[in-house]
Amino acid sequence: MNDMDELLRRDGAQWRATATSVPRVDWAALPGRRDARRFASSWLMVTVAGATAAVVVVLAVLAPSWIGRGATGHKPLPAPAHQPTPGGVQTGPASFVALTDAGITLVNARTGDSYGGSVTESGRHATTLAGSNDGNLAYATFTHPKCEVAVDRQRWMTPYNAEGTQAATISGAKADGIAVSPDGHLLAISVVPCGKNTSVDDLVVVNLDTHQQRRWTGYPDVSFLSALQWAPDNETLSYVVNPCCGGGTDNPRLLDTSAPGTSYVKPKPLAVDVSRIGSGLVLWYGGQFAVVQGTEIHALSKAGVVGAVLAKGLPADVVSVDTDSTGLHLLLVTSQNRLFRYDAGTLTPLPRNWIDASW
Amino acid sequence: MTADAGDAHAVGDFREWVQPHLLAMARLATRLTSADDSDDVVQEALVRAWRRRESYDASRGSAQSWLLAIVADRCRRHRTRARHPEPAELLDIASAPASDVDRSLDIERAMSRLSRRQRLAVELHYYVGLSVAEAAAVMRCSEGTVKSTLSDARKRLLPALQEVS
Repeated sequence: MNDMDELLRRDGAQWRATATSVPRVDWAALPGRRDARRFASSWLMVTVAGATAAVVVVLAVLAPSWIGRGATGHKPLPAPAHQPTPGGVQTGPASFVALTDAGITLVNARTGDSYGGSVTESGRHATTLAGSNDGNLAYATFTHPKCEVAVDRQRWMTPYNAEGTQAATISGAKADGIAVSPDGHLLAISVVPCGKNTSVDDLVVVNLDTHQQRRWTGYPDVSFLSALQWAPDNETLSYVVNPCCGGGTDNPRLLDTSAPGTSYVKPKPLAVDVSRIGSGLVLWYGGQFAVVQGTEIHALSKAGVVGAVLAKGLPADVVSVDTDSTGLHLLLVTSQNRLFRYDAGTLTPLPRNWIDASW
Repeated sequence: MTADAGDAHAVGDFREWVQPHLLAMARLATRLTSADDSDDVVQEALVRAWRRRESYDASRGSAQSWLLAIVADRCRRHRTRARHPEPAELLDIASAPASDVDRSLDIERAMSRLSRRQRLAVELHYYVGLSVAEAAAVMRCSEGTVKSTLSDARKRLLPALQEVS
C-alpha cells in the first residue's frame, strides 16, 4: 500500500512536470457593470483578508513547529509507542482477519504472523472486509464489472483452511464499507449506486438469516458515509456523514435500523462537529458511544456532547478503527496503512501492513 | 472614474488576485475533464467566482481552496452536460518514456474504478499537488476524512491496477 502511495506520488509529479500551461482567460467576459461597482466597494475587505491570509501562510512556512506540522500541512507520523514484546500481546482476541493483495487471510493477533493462504477465488479482489469478532468468519465485498456487489462469507475450519459461500448480492451498486452486527445476524453495507450521476452512498442492511435487504437513501447532493459501526444492541448503527464538496461539515449520526423509514439522514445530526476534532471517527468503546479526538478516545453522548477521556495513546493519524465484541480491544489502521492493536492502554504495532483488517 | 474604467479596474484587481492560482485551476480542470475542455471549465469557474466573489470569506479558507472548489463543481456540471462519464486521457504521450506511458495509462484506467470523491481526493493530493489540509479545504471536509478517503482509494486502486495491467 505504501508502494501505491509512492507510485501515485511519482506519477503525479511527472504529470505536473508536463502540465505547466496557464489557461487562456477572456477577462473581458467576466463583469457586468452592476457587478463591478459592488466588487469595487468590497475589494478593500477582500484585500485586507487576503493580506491576513498571506501573513498566516508566511508564518506557517517560517515557523512550522508553532503549529505542530510541516510547511506542507502534513502531520508527522507518530513514532510507535511500544515495540512488540517477545511472544506478543497476551490479552484480547487471538486472531483477526486481514485483506491482502492475494485475498483474505487469518492472522495471529499475538504475533501478527499470517497463517497464510488466500481464500478468495483468483482474479477477484475484495474491496472491504468485516470479521465476526471471533476469528471464525469474515465477510468481504467484491464488485463485479457489471456493477453488482457480491458479499462472500469465509468460514475458517482451521487457521489454514477456510470455506467460502455467497452471503448476499446487491445489484446496481459498488461497495464502499461493511460492518457486521455483534450477534452476527446483520450486515450493514454502504454502497454507491451505479448509473446515477452521483456519488451519494446508500445504506443497505442485509439480514443473513432471511436474506431480506432494507435500503436507506440519503441526500440528493454529494455526500457519503464512513466509519460504519454497529452498537452492542445490534440495532443502532453509527456512521459519519461527510457532505463532501458541497459545503457543510462532517457529523456523526445514529440510525435505529429497527424503526420504519428509508431515509438515513432522517436522524438529526449530533451536535458534535467531528471535522473540528480532526479524525472524524466514531466508535463503540466498552459498550458506549465514543469519538476519536487526536490520540485519545472520548465518550460521546447521543446528544453529541464530548465527555471524559476513555483511552489515551492512539497513533495521531488513525483512519479506521475496528472493535472486538468486548469493545475494549481495537485494531487501528493509520493513514499510511500501518496496523496497530490497542488493548487497555497498550499500543502494539503489528509487523506487516495489511490493506484492511478486522477482528 | 467612469463605469467602464471602474469595470476595468475591478477586473484588474480580480485578475491579480486569481493569477497565482490559475495553474492549479487548470491542472484540476484537466484532471477532472480533459485537456481540451480545461480552458472552458476554468473560464466558467472564473465567471462564477467573479459573480460570487462577495461570498468569499478568507477566514474560512484560502483563495486557492475557494477557487478549486468552484472548479471541481464546474467539472462535475461539465461532465454531466457533455455526458463524459470519465475524464479523458491525460498523459502527454509524446513527452514521456514508453514505460511511464504504460504505467500512467494503467493508473488512469484503474482510477476509473474509484468513486467520485475518492477520485477528487487523489487528483487534488497526488496530481494537483495539494497537501491533505489543502485538499480538505477544497473538499470542505476534515483532514481525517481526506486521509481515510485517500486510504480507501489506494486500497481500491491496488487490485484495479493489477487487473488492468
